[in-house]
Amino acid sequence: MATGSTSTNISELKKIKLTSSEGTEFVVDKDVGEKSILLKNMLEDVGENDMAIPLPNVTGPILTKVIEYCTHHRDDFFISQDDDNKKTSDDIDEWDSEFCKVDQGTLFELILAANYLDIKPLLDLTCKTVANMIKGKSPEEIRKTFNIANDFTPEEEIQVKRENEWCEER
Amino acid sequence: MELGTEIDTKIDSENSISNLPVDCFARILTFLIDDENTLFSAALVNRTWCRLAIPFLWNSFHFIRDDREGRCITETLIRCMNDEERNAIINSGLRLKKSYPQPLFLYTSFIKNFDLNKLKTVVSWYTHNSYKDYVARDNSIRQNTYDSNNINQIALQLLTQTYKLIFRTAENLESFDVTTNILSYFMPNFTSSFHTPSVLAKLKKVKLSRNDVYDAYGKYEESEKNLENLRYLINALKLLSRNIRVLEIDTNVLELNNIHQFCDLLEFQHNLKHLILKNIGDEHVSIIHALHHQAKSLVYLEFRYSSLSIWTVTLLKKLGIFTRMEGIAFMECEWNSRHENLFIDWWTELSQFPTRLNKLYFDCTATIIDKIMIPLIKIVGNNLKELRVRNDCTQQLIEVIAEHAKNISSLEIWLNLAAVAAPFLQTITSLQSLQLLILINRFEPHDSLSDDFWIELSKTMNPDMKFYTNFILTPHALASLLLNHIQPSNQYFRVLSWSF
Repeated sequence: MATGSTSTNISELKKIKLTSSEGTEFVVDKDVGEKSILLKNMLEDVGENDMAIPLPNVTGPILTKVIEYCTHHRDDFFISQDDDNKKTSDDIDEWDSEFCKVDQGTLFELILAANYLDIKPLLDLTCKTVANMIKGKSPEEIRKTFNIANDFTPEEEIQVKRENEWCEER
Repeated sequence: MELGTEIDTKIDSENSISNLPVDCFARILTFLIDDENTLFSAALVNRTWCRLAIPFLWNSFHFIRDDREGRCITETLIRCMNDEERNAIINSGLRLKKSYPQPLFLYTSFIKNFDLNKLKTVVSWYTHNSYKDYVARDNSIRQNTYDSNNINQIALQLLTQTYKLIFRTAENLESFDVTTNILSYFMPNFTSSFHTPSVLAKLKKVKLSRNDVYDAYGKYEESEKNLENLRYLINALKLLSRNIRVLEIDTNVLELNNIHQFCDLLEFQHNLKHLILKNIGDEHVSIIHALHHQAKSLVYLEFRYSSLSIWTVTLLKKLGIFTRMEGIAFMECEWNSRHENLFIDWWTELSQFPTRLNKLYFDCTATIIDKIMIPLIKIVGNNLKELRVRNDCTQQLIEVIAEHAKNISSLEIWLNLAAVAAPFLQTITSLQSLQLLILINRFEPHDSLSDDFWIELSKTMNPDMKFYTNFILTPHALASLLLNHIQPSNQYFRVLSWSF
C-alpha cells in the first residue's frame, strides 16, 4: 500500500453510523468507512443520510478491529492488486503483523468481515497471515494447527500422494 | 461424494478455518503458489483441502527439476489421457498396464502456465532414462524390451499425445511458451483440435522462442517447415487471441513474411501491455513502426540481446514511443557508441512531456550511463520506482539516484566502484528491495566494502527489505545485518558468501 496525500479534506470530517450484528452502533469518520468498497458504494447510492448502516454479518468486536485497521490506514492509497502479479506472504509490515496477533477464531472472522465489507488490503493481510501459519508444515502439523480431522480413506490418501509425488519434498 | 467432484461452499463449526468460504480459502492458497512443498502438504490434510490445493499445485510445470519428478508427472499425465490417446502411445510400442486407474482429478484442466518445451524435456526423461528403472521396481507393469532406435519414436508419440491431452483439457490455460523446434510436434494436434479457438481466446501471455540451431557457418537457420508452422501459429493468435497482455518474441524466428504477420498480430492485441523483443536488428524496422502505429495499448517495452544501431535509435526517437511508456528495459543490448551525439539528445523529448516512466532496466556501458541513464533519471525523478543498472555503475549515477529518485523502491546495481558509491547508497531511504552486485571475475580486494558500510547500511534498511548481495561479507558485517536490523522471518535476505 502506498501512502496517500492528506486526511484533512472536508469529506473525511463527516461521520457515518454503522450497526453491528448485536445492534451496537458505531460512529466513524466517513473516509475511514469508505475504505470498505461495500460501504462506499452504499453511501454513494443512498446519498446524505443519518441512518445507521446495518452490518448483520459483522459482530461488534470484529467491527472494532476493522475500524482500527481502516483508521490506521486511512491515509493509505489502497491499490487493487493485479491478479497477474505473483503474490507473496512475506511483505507484512510491523503494525499489520501486530494487528494480526489474535486468536484463530478472530482471524477467520476478520477474513469473513474483510470479504463481506470488500476491504481488499485487510483481506490480503489476514489471508497472508493464515498462509504463513500453513507454510512449511507437514499435513499432520496443519491438522493440529487448525484442529482439522483427516477424512481421507487410506486408498485416497495413497492415490493423492502417488499422483502428486513429483512435488514431494525429499 | 467423490474426491474429484465439486466442493461444498462451507462446512464444520464456526470460527474454524473450515468455515471460510471457498473463495477466501483459495485466496489464502494464492500466497503459497510458489511453495509446492506446502501445497503438497495442504493437499494431504483432508478431502476439502485436497480439492482446493490441487489446482494451485498444477498451476504450472515450473517445479519439475529432475528425472524423478519428470517420471512421476508423466505417469499422472498418462492417467489423465483418454483411451484414444493412450492407445496411440501403446501402438507406438510403449507398454502400459492394461487398465489404467482413473486419476482423482483431471489434473491437466488446472494448468494455467504451460511450457511446451519443458514438457518435451520431461517426456524425454521419462522415455529415455527413467522408464526401465521404473519397470524394474514395479512388477505390475510388463517389462518391454526396448530397441534404442524406437525409443525416439515412442517419445515422439508420447509427446504428441500429451500435447493433445493438454489442449483438449486445459480449460484454464493462460500462458504458453513455445520454441520453434517443437512446433512440428504440437501443430498437427493444435490445428485439428476442436478446443484450439477457446484455448487461444483465453491466453494472456505468449512466449515464442527459437530453437538454437546454427548452420556450419554459425548462422542461425530455421527450417522451412518450422517457419510455415510459425506463420500458422502467429496467424491463429492474430485471429483468435484478444486477451494477450504479455508477448515475448525472439525476432530471429521471423523471416520477412512472418515479420509482417507479427506486426498485424500487434494491431489486434488491444490489451497488450508488455512486449519483450529479443534480437531486434535493422531488418526488423517494420516492428518498430508497428510499436507506434499498431501496439497502442503498450506501456512496458523491453529489448533483449538487441543491436541498437543508429537507425533503430533514430526511429524510436522520431516515433516518440517512449513518451507513452511506463517502463523500458534494455537487457544485454549492443549500443553503437560511435553515435554518442545522437544518444545525448535521445531523451530530451521526454523532458518536454510529463513522463509516465517509473521502471528502468538497463544493462549498459559507462558511456550510456552518462549520456542516457543520468539525464533520464533526472527527468523521471520522483516517479521512479524500479531501477536496474548492470555493468559499470558509477558514483555519479548513485549520487543522481539519491538526489532525484526520492521514491525509488527497488534498486539493483553492479558496483565496480563499491567503496566510493557506498556513502550515497545509505542516503536512499525509500528502498524496499535492494540488490548489490559485483562482477565476480573482476573482483579485487580493494572492491570489498568495509564492515562500517554494512553496519551503516543496515541501519537505513527496512527490516522487511528484500536484499541480496554477492559481495563477500565478513562475519562481523553479516552478523550486524542479521542481528541488528533484519527481521528473522525475512525470506528475501540472501548473501552469497562470507569469509572467515
